[in-house]
Amino acid sequence: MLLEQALASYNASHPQACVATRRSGSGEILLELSGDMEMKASSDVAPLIEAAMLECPARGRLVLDLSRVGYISSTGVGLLSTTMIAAQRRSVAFVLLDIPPRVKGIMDTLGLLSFFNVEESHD
Amino acid sequence: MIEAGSGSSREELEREAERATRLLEATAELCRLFAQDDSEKANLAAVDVLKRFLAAEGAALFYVNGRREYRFCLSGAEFPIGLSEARWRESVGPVREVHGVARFGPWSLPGFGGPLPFWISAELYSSVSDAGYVLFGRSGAPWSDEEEMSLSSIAYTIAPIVGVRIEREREEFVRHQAEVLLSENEKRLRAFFEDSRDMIYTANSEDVVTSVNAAGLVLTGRTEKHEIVGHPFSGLALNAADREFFLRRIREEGYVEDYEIVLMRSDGATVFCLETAHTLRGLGGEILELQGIIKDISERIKSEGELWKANLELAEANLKLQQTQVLMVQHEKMASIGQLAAGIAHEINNPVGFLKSNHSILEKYTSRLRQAWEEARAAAGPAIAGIENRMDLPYVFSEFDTIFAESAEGFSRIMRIVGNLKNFSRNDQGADFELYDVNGGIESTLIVARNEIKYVAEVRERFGELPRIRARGGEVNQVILNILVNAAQAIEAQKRSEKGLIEIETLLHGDWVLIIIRDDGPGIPEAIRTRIFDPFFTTKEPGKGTGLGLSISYDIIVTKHGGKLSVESEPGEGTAFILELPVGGPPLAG
Repeated sequence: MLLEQALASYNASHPQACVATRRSGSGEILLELSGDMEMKASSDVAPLIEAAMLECPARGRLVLDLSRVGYISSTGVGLLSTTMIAAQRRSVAFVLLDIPPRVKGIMDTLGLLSFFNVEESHD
Repeated sequence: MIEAGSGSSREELEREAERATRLLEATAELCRLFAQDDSEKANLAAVDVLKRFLAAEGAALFYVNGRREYRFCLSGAEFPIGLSEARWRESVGPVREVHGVARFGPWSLPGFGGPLPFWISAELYSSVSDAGYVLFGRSGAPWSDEEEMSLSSIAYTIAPIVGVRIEREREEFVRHQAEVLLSENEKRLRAFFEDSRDMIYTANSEDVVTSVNAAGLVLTGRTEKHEIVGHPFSGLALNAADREFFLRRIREEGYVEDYEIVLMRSDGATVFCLETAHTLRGLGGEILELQGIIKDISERIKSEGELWKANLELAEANLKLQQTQVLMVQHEKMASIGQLAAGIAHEINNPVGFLKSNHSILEKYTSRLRQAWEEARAAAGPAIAGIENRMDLPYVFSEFDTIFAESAEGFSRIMRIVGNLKNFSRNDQGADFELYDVNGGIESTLIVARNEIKYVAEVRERFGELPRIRARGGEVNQVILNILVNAAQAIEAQKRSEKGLIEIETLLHGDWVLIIIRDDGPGIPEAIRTRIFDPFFTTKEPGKGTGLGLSISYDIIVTKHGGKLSVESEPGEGTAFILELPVGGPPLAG
């Protein structure tokens, strides 16, 4: 429920950066982000990710689909890092799905990419 | 306008004509003066002309020039005198009270000589806040009406000229002031541009750099501006696509605020930057220029990156520590179960041993007693038959064999179970790798797992001829037990009407022994097949599994024994776990 509220709140103020959520079996929550994860958008999306994390059961998976993210700022990378740490504390597998090359490049330049679980979709 | 007096004589007419001529000449001279000389000297000369014309003893011109300076031109002087505004107002005070031509006195020119009794003044212009005046003083006689008319006429003629001159001067002054201000502003802006510690640049609509400041050279590691100016900005970016993204945004929105971009210095080093920029557009909305300020935030990003990295490393280390701790506890628990089983087996072994021994002796003694009874009955005859019938001894004796045979079978089974328990835990083995009978180990493990399996599945064994391998048998048995119990639980979870099937096959393949454990359970979905060996991964209900069994199994087979553990599964068809163990043990096990 918290996730639904956070999602509605985010989408109300970010018509361009549409976020959708989809749940599949075995405790997995998928968040599809779009738009730019610049400073403000990153701050705004944080409560949404936090809500998803809280709803994710222990030993479940929180998957962030970044395929439609065009740009990520250091604030965005910081958000991913803190989410990763929070996920480990909660025994939730935090997965970054389909990271665009430019976003991947920034994370790699910062030396942080290796800390994340990165997956490619098979669609 | 000059009027002749009524009833004037010829002399008067001639005098009048002469006065008019002089007036015209004076006016013409004044006009010529002002036409020839744009400077304030023309004002000084004009005062002298007027003084002569009016035969005055004192003459002066007050005005505010184009620079807003209060000026006082005195007859006979070479330069105009500057006055303070207060002094000016004080001096001109009596004159300001009357408009046009006025006569007054006595009065003295401020700061020059004594007072003169008769003064006449004319206002020259009043188009600006402070008007200009000409003043003339004398001591002989009061100013006549004719003289007043002459002055009025002259003032009327030259006032526009003086006014225009003052206005023009003022405009020039204002323009000059504007130019000075503009120049100063340009200097300030240039200094701001050049001395800024942040990179400031401009680019044209094609994003070709048109100017850059010194900080831009430092930031990008260039030494000359022409290395940047005239080139596309994207050449400075680590990733040209980042610049394209930036340009798309600024073209759409007109500005971009705090955009992070990574630039590449000429030496190849990367610089994290924060850029704020906007566009200058033409009337048609087309982009004329792009102006941006770029700040080097590498230090901040570096610090943040290191902090995130440290936190991630810490979290990862913490997680590994927790997992290792749990794994150790689980390992220990599994080992303890084996030890416990072995201990119990050992404890049972001794009493069962002497029970079986006593049982054998008892069987022997009973046989002897029965033989003795047969002999006694033959000797005693019918007398003993009564006892025999009363005690139903023929039946008792006939049961002896069955009882002893069943007991012997029971003892054998106990001994076999105890043996298998001991074999399962391999308590007799130390930490070193020793020769291990794979098929025997599986048999022992099946005994231990029997209670888990017997109600849900049939077990089919297809053991091949195997050499003994170098292994830690107790640990391999734990792995087999774990897979067998998982298979039984998976089949049980299907709640099917008939029993399932578990097949165990062993075979030798080169220098490897393969153990294949197949079940016809529900299978493992493809989505989770790669995760089943992850620590804590489980699909069982809470309390049914820790998610560590297969993780530990993987560790035992792959890490400790240098073997392989893989899974093949078809949802709805079943699962096969394939254990591959090197006959000679792991490479470093000796």
